[in-house]
Amino acid sequence: MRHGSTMIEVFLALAILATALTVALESMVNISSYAGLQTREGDLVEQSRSIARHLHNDLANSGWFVSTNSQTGQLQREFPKVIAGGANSYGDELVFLRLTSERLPESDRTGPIDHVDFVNRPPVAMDAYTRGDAVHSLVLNPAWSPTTQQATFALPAWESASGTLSYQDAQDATKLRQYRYVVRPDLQTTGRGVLMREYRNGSTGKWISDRRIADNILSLRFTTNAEESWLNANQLRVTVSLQADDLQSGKVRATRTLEVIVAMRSGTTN
Amino acid sequence: MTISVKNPHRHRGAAMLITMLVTTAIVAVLFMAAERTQASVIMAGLDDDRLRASLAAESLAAMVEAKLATQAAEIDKLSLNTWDDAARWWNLVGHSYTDGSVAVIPERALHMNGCALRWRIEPVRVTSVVGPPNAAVSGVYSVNHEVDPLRVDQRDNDARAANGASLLAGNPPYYHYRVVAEAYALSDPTATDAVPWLESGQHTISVQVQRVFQVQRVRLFDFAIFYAATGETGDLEYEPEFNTSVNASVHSNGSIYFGGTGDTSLKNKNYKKAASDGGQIVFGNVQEKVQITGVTGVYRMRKGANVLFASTAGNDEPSLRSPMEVPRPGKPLKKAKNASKMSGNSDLNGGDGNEANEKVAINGEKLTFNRDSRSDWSLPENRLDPYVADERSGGAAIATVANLPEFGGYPLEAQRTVGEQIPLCRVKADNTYTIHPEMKPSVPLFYAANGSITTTSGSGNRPVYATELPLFVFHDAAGKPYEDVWPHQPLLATSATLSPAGAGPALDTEVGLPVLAVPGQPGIVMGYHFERSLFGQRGAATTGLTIRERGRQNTSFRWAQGLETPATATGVVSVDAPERAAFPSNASFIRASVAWLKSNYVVYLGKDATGTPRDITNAFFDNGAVAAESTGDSSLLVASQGRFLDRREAHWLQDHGYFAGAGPITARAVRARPLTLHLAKVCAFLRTSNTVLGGIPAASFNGMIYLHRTPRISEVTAGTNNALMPLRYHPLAKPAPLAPAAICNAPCLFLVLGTTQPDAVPAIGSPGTWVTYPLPLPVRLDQAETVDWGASAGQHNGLTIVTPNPCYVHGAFNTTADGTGKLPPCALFADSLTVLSSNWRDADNDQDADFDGALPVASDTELNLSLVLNNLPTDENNVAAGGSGGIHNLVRYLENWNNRALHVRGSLVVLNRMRYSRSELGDNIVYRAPQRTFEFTPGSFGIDRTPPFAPSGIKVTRMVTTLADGPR
Repeated sequence: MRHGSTMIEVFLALAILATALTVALESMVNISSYAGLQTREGDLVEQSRSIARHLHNDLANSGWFVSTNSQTGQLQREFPKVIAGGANSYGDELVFLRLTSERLPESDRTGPIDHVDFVNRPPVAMDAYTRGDAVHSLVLNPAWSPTTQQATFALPAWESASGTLSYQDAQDATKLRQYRYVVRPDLQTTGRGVLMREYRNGSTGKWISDRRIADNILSLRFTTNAEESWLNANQLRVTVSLQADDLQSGKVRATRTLEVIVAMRSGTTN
Repeated sequence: MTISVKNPHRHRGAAMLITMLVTTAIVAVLFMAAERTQASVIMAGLDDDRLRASLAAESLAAMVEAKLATQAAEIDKLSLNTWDDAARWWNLVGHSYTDGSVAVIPERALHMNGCALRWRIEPVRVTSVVGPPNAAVSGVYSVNHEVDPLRVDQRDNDARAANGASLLAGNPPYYHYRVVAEAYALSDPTATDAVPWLESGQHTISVQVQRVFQVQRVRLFDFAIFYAATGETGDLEYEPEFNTSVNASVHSNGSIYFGGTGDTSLKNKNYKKAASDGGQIVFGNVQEKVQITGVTGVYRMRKGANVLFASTAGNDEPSLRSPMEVPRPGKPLKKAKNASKMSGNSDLNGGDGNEANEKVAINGEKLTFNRDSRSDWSLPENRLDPYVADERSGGAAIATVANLPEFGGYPLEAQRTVGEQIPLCRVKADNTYTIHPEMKPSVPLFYAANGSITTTSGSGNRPVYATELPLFVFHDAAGKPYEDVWPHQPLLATSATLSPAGAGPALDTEVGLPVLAVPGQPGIVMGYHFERSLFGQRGAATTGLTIRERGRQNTSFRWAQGLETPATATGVVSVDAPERAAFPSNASFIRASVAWLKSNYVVYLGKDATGTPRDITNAFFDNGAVAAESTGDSSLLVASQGRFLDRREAHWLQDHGYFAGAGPITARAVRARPLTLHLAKVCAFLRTSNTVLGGIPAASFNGMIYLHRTPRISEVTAGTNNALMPLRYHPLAKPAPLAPAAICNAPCLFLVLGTTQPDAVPAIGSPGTWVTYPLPLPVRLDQAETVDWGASAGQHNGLTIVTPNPCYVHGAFNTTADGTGKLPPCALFADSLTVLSSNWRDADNDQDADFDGALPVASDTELNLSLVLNNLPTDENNVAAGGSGGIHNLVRYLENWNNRALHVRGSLVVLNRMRYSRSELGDNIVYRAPQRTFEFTPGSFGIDRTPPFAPSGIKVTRMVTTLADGPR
């Protein structure tokens, strides 16, 4: 009876074991790699959703702000304003105004829009119109009179810089809170851009970063029907490219392009 | 060499350990991947649910707004509580509202897109300062407009009591509403009984849409010119032959064409000249700007030239049906049949494009073809002027009662009709008819290819639509009112169910028409103006003076012959109006005429104690009879029946085959037989105390006169008309394309018979078809120089005359100032208007030879009244004859007005295309045009410068929609 194995047996066993381990290891590496890819792609999917959600909430609650050019006297659309990014940038900037919503008293002005409470604030009847609630989304022209029939009666109420908005303020961009989408470079972590929402009070205030919306931005383009006439006047087209790399190897792991057209749903006719 | 293995179990343990580690690692990786995948799925699901709910909520908010906006042209409905008209608001399903002090939370949900929804609509207040939450802010506020002038003070007092003293003065013509729609994405999208706000755990996410919108009431008489119809019917063509200057606003729900004039150049296909010639056109100036809105565009072209160019008689370029597709000079047409270029005579652009030479100026800016709506006015920098707008630059449509579906575009009619595209169904239980298959189990009806009626929707079969059928109010088993077509229309005209005895709602035996009930009670569904004339405005004590042709002649009115007294009168009225030659004396002729008028027309003024319109037929027609009997002059009565030959209508009927093969009867024998209202005598009647009526009629009068001729086309047997069938056409009972003799002297074709669908076989009742007989049942106004019906000093003394029929005005209208030195504000609403100068005499135009004889010569005439009319829009059928001829041909003529002037002061409102005529302008055999002046001079009129019941419209001028997360 032989106690032990021959060298051939041992080498054979080692070879089989090595082969098995190699296969297992490669599988592990592949699984890990796949999981990493899924993670990156999942990140991009999630960031795309975040972008779409924010764009929808912000831009759908926006509209054209039209002013008169002081030099030509012509009407001009001032906001939303697309500031084209240069060739080496991560994309365009979009400066826009937001409409005031029907906020409840306890509302946080920078937070999400509040809902109207069906239970605790029932509506007044149609024939009780003299007792109607005051709304925050329109502001009345106090100078209107029956002899000035052509004068505008009310304007959409934009979010103001001071928190209080008068009819005159609603026509003066320097009295309003401006928001912008801008992509900041993230050279240390991803090497890509970070989409930020910022705001400032008036036209000259300091921009304050308000919300970090998405990472991994490769490019961002905004267009209105001033740039692309096939768009409806109230539509904004947004094209975002995202790219996620392997943080260790730096290899490109996933790319994604998001293209959305958002309707600014607030008509502001004469 | 051997290797001893002392403890083989150690190797097994290591292998197991390695296996476990590897397995654990794999499981961990898989678990993490699964978790991430699951989370991703959940997030994706929530995003989908949010999107689903957002779409549902936004759709519902838009639908609620549309519900209100589409009815808002009836201004008084803007303050009507939703529960007072529940059927219009989905029977209040999903509706949250407040009834008195009780807040109602819906116990059922509306379901849409896998979501349960609830909604609310409420009037709101707007303020001049929008403050931070809970902060006290200064400024003024406004609440909704009050339409009734008598209630404005109450509105102001109530608003100040509720909200403080700083109410914006002047009862601004604005309404503001907030619509909130809340959608709950259901965990089980098929759970249609879910009510998530009452029971938790049924939804995944909720979203709320808030929509605030502004409705502006627009007084149409504030415009110099207003066109109400949408699409091509609403196109305003401005192409005067002389220089014109207008300092008031103009609006069209279609397009506005600033073109040239001259039929000759148009007929000669010199389109460039046709688009360019004519007088200078000036609207407003730099200092006093006016609003010019053409919803579908403002163009420097001539519509007639475009239409002719695009027709087979022109260049046959179908792409040119839209003015937006007309290229600028030198450019080729897209997809052109004939490779046409805009050049030479074929250039459709008006003018030469040079501002220095341009004849059209608006607010000081020259409207060249380079600056019209083709320049994309959605970009403000491209706009001609901020006050000149199309739909892309904020020019919103103004909806009027003419745009409400239930009026079918004709709000002047006495009865509302079903409207287009509503299928007619046969009730299974009793073979009656209905448009409510949801209420009465029934099957839709179809025309088979051979014209027979079937309930099978086979290939080639076309639905039977109830389009032109009049609506009636019925009560259902629960006593709730609903509107439907007459249920018992038979297949055979001689059916017993036509009998008045079987009518329900019952017939008014005196009048021969379905009963005139109070609004909402069984009876006819009244037209907009007819209802206001019969019953007055809601809550008002005064009414209009309503004169309506009876559904059948009431022969119980007798006239006294010889020395008979009224009580013993034996004179039986004739079918035709009395002729003087047939009577032995002036007195007998007048007595017969009065009896004839009573037998054919019923007159209402005021209401009795039960609220029913008061029949004043006897008192009205007897007025002036004594004076008339001595002279035989029927113009001393309040009304008479005229007769003359209208060359334009007769020629058109002849030219379009209506009398072909009719033997000795030709269009030469056609006569218009207008009910002529002698306005001076009517005013005298209103001013004079009347013992029968117990006082002065003017005390019951609200300033509106409603005149209606009723077509009697329902011959059951020869000479016997039935009151249930004067309601014109029935797609099953009376489908034959022949108008009976009672209308046209001879059997003739429908006026309009066809289909709006290009591929359908023209046939009665085919999709989109509407049918109307040519209707020579006009009305006429004369003796109208002075309008004084006895209004108290300082009160509104204006007059508005409404008729759905063609109207003639004979002589001057409203040329005498009142005690304040101003003219009473007056208006005429009619299907069409033909002006007869004071030189006109019926007797001179009552011979067959007048069909093409010498024209009578007109005299200068002045009309001071605003006009609400229908017109003849330019289309392929009439363009070769000049089309509409432009706005300055809205009023028509039958005399030689060469070197004569017609001066009209007032607004021009055009509702729709003419209902009872398609006749074109005609040539020199029909008329010669006057020197026409239309002036918008509201300052000429007194009181508030507005006639009573002046039309108004609404436009949604602001809307702000915001999206929010719903309650958790």
